[in-house]
Amino acid sequence: MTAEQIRIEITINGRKYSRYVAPAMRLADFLREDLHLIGTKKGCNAGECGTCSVLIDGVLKKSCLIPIAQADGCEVVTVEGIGPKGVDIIQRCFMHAGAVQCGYCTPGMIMAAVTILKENKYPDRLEIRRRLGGNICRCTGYAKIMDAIELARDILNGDKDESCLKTVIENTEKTIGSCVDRVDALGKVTGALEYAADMEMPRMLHVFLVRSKEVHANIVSINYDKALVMPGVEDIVTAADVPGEDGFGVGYQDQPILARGKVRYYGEPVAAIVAETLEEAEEAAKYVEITYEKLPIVTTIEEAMAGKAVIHEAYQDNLVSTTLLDKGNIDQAFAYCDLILEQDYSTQAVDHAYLETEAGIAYVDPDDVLVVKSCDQDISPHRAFLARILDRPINKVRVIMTPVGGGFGGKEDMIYQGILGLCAVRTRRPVKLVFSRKDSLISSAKRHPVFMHHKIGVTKDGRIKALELTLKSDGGAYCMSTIGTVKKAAMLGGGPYEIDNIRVNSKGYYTNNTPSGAMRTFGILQPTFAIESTMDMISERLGIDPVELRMINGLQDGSSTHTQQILGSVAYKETVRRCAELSGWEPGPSTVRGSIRQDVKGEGVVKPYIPGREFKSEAALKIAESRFKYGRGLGTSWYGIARPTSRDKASAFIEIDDGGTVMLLTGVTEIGEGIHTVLTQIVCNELGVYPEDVTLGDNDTARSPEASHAGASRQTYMVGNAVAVAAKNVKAKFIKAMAEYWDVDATNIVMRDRRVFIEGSNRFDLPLADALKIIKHDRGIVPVASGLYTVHHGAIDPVTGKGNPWQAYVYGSQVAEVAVDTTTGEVHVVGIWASHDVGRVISPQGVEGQVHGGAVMSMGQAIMEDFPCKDGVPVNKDFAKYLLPTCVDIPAFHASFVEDRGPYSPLGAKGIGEPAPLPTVPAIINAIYDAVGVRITDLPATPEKILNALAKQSKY
Amino acid sequence: MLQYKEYLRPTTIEELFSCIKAADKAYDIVSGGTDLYAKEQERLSPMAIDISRIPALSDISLEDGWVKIGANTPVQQFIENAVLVDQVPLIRHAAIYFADQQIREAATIGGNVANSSPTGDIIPTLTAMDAVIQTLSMEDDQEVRRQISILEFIQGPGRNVLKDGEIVEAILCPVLTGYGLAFKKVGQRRSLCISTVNSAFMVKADPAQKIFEDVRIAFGAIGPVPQRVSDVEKFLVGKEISEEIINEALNLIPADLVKSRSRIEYRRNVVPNFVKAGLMEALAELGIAL
Repeated sequence: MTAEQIRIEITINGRKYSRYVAPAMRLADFLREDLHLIGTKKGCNAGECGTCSVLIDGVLKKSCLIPIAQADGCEVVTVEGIGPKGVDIIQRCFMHAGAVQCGYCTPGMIMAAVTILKENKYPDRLEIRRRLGGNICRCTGYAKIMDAIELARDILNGDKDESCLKTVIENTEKTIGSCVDRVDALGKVTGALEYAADMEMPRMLHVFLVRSKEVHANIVSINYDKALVMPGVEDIVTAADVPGEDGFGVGYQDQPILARGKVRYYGEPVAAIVAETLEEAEEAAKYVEITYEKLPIVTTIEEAMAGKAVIHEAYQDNLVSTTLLDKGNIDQAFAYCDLILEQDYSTQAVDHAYLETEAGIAYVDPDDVLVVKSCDQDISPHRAFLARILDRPINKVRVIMTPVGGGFGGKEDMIYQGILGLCAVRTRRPVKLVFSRKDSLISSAKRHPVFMHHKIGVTKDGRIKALELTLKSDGGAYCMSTIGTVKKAAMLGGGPYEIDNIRVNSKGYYTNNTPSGAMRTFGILQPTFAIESTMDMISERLGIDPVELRMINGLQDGSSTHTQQILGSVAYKETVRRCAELSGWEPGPSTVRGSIRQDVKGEGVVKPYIPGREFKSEAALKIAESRFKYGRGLGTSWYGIARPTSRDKASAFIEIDDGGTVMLLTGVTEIGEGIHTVLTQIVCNELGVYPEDVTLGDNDTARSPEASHAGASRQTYMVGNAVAVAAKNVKAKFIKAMAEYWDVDATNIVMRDRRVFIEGSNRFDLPLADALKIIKHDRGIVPVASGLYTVHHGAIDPVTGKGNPWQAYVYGSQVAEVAVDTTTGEVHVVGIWASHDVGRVISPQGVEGQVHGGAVMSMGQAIMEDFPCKDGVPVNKDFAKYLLPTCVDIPAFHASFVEDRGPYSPLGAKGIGEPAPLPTVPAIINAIYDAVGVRITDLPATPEKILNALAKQSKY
Repeated sequence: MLQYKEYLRPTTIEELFSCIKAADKAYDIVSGGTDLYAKEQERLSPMAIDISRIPALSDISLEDGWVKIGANTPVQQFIENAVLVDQVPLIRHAAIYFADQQIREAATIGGNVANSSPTGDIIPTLTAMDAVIQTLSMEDDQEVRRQISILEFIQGPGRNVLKDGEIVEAILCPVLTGYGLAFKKVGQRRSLCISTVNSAFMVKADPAQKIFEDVRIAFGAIGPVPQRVSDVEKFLVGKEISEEIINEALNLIPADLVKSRSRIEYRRNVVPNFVKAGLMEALAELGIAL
């Protein structure tokens, strides 16, 4: 009953603790801050994400919602307390089944899995789904998490033998293409891996950002005298304190690290308070007085075009950029079309919603090097930006990527690292900044809202003759990636079709909305939704099956693209064919035939999720289910791999090390996609070692060669090939040295299964470890090499858009099946069948994981996620309102991969990260139309839009 | 950041009221804490009084055809506790839609009622059952109890008739047997989701399963307070059960039933669909198929 600190007795992971604590403290904070049990994460601090799930007296609860006073006397088990020997069967199953990607949801998922299997030895998939309903995962699409729990169930029940968890690789030359446990999974399933928010340093200060509550206003004055004298405050910084030339941004560096002169969006940071504790910094922030002069708020593209206000002085017309394409002669072509369709489309802003919010630490090291460690998707340019902004030599800035708990493009922009660097340089002490979920939602970049208009002309046999495509992207308050997405949307937005006459006008605008930036697909999800919806309308109008329509128009070997690039091998139609076959597609035009088609409600779908199914009567369930209308839709897509219209490049260092192990150093950006595992497999294949023999160096500008960012689906293609080249180079050196030692012809020497040998010879056969010892210690050669991979992408013509922007393209097709609840308008996506061309599958689990996660992310965009701004102020500022798909919302997945090897890729691999989500949105939207005849052209397809349209249908 | 600067945790009713009496600043009563700890600190009172350790507030008892459910009873208990599943089965239908199981393990029925959110998922069930909220306060060192019907108790979004120093002690639910039950809810997804419309249905038929003997329909989330659809209820009672009569009854849904200022058209479209679906499913639970 005391008001101040209370003494609590608490047992955590079997150990008793007696501590004085503030009783109002959240249990999650006690675990993380007082005990440094950092396996318990804080993804939302509001009970909406499940990254903090722990057992309290045997009951699974969200520890961010539990006052520590309520846990007094309780027994708590965290992820660190799972399993008697460190790693439990459940954790091993997560590693083995590919259930781990970025790892941020993993500890909470493990706790949920432990609870499910503790309470029921034989849970079925429906029960697993239901029990995971409170734990969000943004990467995996949940399927492999459920697989892992089913696997653990079967092993624990003795239905499967534990030995099935062993990785089976026939020989090291077949590591590529084999299922290999993720190399970074152990730290994620045990919760031991430290993300930026988990890191602490002695004498560390904390940063709190004072953010603008104005949307568009001049800053008249900032007075922080009172705040500066508050307890614990070390420093307060504003734009005036920036020593160098300010400005960051992926495409164009128009954004100051702290608002300079004016604020352009709600939540823009204006001042940073640096204090001994976060509480002190936050308290002091209340005493910072900022006087604003309000400016008109530009809330829409129309207002931007009309010049309601100028947002950036250098851009008086609020126009960020334009990309034009003009191929053939569309005006002539429309004249001989049998059908001309015109249609508008629009898409909403959505958030990346990685479960790890932005976080970082910065300090100045003893050699006067500023070190900035953060969950950063693109360290090399950020080092350059920081050097310029802070006026330091570039080698006096070191940028290190911490483990990234999901990125999806959202961590490509340097939205807070500049502030961290400045605070560290000024205070000469380590500083730490962690975004709250609200910070992350209001101030990180969003997917661009895009407004599109189609005018498309087809002949009656289904051939597209002309397409005029207009795209207007809302770039928000700063440029970030807008130039790039506008351009990419122009080049790919016409869809995977050979169209002789096409004209594209793609523009991006400044508004005062939350800035838009890079997000998985980089501007292509939006036009793909549009063109694939238009294809569905053409299917209906002409009475041609949508699969057939793709066969008539699809890109093929030797096709000319919208930029008039002549393609080599094209697997597009193969993906369409396979997808149709995999899904058992019943041919027929898109004429709302859901109720009569025979291919729905088959074995490959899940039942729509109805809470209480377990206790409702059969008769009541039957009535509930009778209101669902089923339908199917097709979506297809294409994508260019790696950075377009530029010389993309990546490099790596490699050493064959003591014990026959391999050290690989490259600035690769593992953001959860599994690239570390892919690179490890590439090394194993080439050098004849096992995954556990490979040590992968960190992404650190002072330690690893540049490999550039995670984005453009480029890492397997670019970094993978750089590593393959490095491995070949070091192998050549090593074999040459062995050939000299053995005095044999080098061409006969093989490295495989941890041995160096000549096939069929007993004399020339050594374990790799012994051979290395001879080469290195007896002959004095350290086997090191580097690898470089460069692509030669051409620029496009500013008027016609003619050019060869990529050297590798991939293609993908998906069928979605939906059940639409006609009482509520809710959409249940019950099945997804996907076929994607990836070039070459390196990690089978990895590519499947990308398809599942990508499809679920797109499902969110299609039916639920939305980040609207009202007069510039974001409406959905937490995870209670910004809704992400949960485990109960997901479909059954079926995937098949086409391996059309990239001709310029030594590995043959291309990419999958961004291609995966592309076909999903239109597949779902077309399926909704098939089910109930409601055509959604403005995303998302909320229950509200669908039911209101159904109500109107029934009136007429 | 701490949610509260001061945090008191009485273990008896006496201690609770001495905390309340001594309070020199605004305070929040914390039971499960799932609503309060999800809010931003600036939207909370400076002080918390945690009632979760008062055993008297966790009692569940049966008296004279009523179940008395202590305010601290976690929502998950309506799914797991045999007495509650048996005596107030309607709440189970709503509880399964409530947040997710991890939240249900902490969130309490008293909290859901005292929070008086228009979207609270338990509230339509209490409205359908004509449940009574028993409050407790201390006046002149005497325990004072009030029993207030749920419809009277809730006054608006987050507003109710609780006076300063008065808490929700228990929820009193009549034991209603022989009813077919249903709960209908829609939001933007199906787990951890705030209701756009929620509704509870209770239907009783005559022994021959031919005639509506009692019909109770309650809606939440469509206005500031929960509502019964008494026009439809009254119309159906005594009528022969058929799909046609239900369809006819839909015309009696008052035009102004939806009082929310947002998504009005949608909510107006959902309401009759739910009335029909809820009644049909409740009848199906009685074994009456139409």
